[in-house]
Amino acid sequence: MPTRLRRPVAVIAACTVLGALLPVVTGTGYPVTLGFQFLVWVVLAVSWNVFSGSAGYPSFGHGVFFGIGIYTTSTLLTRTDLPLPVVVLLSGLVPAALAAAVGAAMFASPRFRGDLFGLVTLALAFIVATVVSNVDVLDGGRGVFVREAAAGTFLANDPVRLYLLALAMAVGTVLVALAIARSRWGTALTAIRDDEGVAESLGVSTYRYKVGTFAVSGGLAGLVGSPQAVYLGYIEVGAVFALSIPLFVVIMAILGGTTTWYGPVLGAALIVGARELLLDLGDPDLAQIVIGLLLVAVIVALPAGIGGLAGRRRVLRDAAQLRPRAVTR
Amino acid sequence: MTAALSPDDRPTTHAGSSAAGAPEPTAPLLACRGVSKRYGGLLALDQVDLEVHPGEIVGLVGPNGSGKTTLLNLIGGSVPVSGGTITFEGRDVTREPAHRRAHSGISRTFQVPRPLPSLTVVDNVAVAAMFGRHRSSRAQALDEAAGILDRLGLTAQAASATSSLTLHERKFLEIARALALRPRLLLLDEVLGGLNPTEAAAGVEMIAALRDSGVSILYIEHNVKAVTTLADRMYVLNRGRNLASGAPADVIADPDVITAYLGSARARD
Repeated sequence: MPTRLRRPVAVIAACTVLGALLPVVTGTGYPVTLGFQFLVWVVLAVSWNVFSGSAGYPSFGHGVFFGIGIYTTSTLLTRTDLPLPVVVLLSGLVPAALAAAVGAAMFASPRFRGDLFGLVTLALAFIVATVVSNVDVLDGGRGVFVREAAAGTFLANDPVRLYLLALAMAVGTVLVALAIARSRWGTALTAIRDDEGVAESLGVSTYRYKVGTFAVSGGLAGLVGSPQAVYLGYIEVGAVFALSIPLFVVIMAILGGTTTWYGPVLGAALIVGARELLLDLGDPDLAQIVIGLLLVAVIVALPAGIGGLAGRRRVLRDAAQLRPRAVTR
Repeated sequence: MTAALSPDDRPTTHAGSSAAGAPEPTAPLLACRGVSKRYGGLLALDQVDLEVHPGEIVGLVGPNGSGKTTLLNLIGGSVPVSGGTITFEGRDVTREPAHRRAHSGISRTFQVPRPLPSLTVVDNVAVAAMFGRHRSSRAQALDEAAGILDRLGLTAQAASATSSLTLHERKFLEIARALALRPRLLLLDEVLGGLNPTEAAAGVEMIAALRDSGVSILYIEHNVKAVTTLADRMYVLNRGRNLASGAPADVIADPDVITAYLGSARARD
């Protein structure tokens, strides 16, 4: 393993072990449920960042891919006898295919950069939600009972197994994000975010990287829709495709910092933790207001997010190492 | 406004005569044939012909707004043509995306330097080495980039943020990045503009050295005199059309060229 990957991988491994020990310590109680929710947000925020943060294409449609993952699982569990691993895999592949198709169409035109890209991803949420609520096989507007359909599977009524599956997915997503960030793929995305025209002129196939990364990003979000469907037990279009989901994803990633692979993890922890604390105080409206204020404060004080603090230090340290002959002041 | 109606609007004679001139001994590296670019109602380039042969430094001059940078954008592929064809090494590249042209050996600089701001100087150059004509690993690319920065005298800035560079250093970073693609044809867009005489002289030397290392160069300059010292041949564009072409000494003595430049000078005043 390259030296530059050793430390982050060690940190991720340590977090994985700690995460896996949580149910042993706390049993099947509330901490595991909260932990499950946190891990789902981690997958969503980190996978959003893999494309939208890294390439500078803010998407407001990340909930669509998550939702399609949820509905792929519910549909396959209720209507087919496919084994659970296949169901989970397809819950990632179906939204990945949709993201690839949408990306291939949109990125063919230079017009869909910046705001217009965000708008189209937002519109995608409405289109998909309308389709799902009108197609009987998927939902048809009545909602779907997933719990009964999942009863015979590995995940049946077992919060610890759900939690461990979400943990595995979160770790996998973070490893994917790390691998991309530290490879030529990540360099290509940084170049695209900085100046797409320059990236092209330097030989970066911007179209291929954008389509490919958007598909990976959507696929990871869909994958975690699978345990989410079982966790919810009963799903309906309004809740699954709620706009608050992509909104929270964007907030988490920006809060944590979009220029590092771990920033969104910090953002997810902060938001989930803050919400939990504030809800304990008993007022959900207050929680929303405080989270909003928190976001404004962070954007003003730390434009690069919380992760940006560490990122800045690292660049300076690398610079010092690279410049042995420079005069130090 | 009156200058916009100056007499050089008539069809050019020199472009035609040079195209029909002595046959070139080598096949052109780059050939633009009847290249046009239309932006809505504005015809930015109108049937422009231009050739660069292997080993040549070709100057491309013209008053402000004559379409020099537009032509360079079309050759580099960052902007699609509205008409005409562009061939590189005998291959039609008119419809190819910019990155593929970069892979085949066309590289460019930007008139207003456009460093990638979140990367250090050396990483800016390494990106070109990583994704250019010869894909290389990160480590190789960094080595190559360090070598190029050394040649251009930017080693001390290698690990700096690009925001700390002076204009002169930014222009040289543009060149460093373009070189990291290992180009066959280098498109330079006013790389010496805005530099002081010492810096510009170093730049002229460097461009000559590049040509000697086997890179052909298409060199855009606003200032005709600066080109004449370097270029083997030059083209003059005016209002998106070929106005003149040939040996620098002949071109700058051309009455049409003199009129175009005086006309544009009057328009600015």
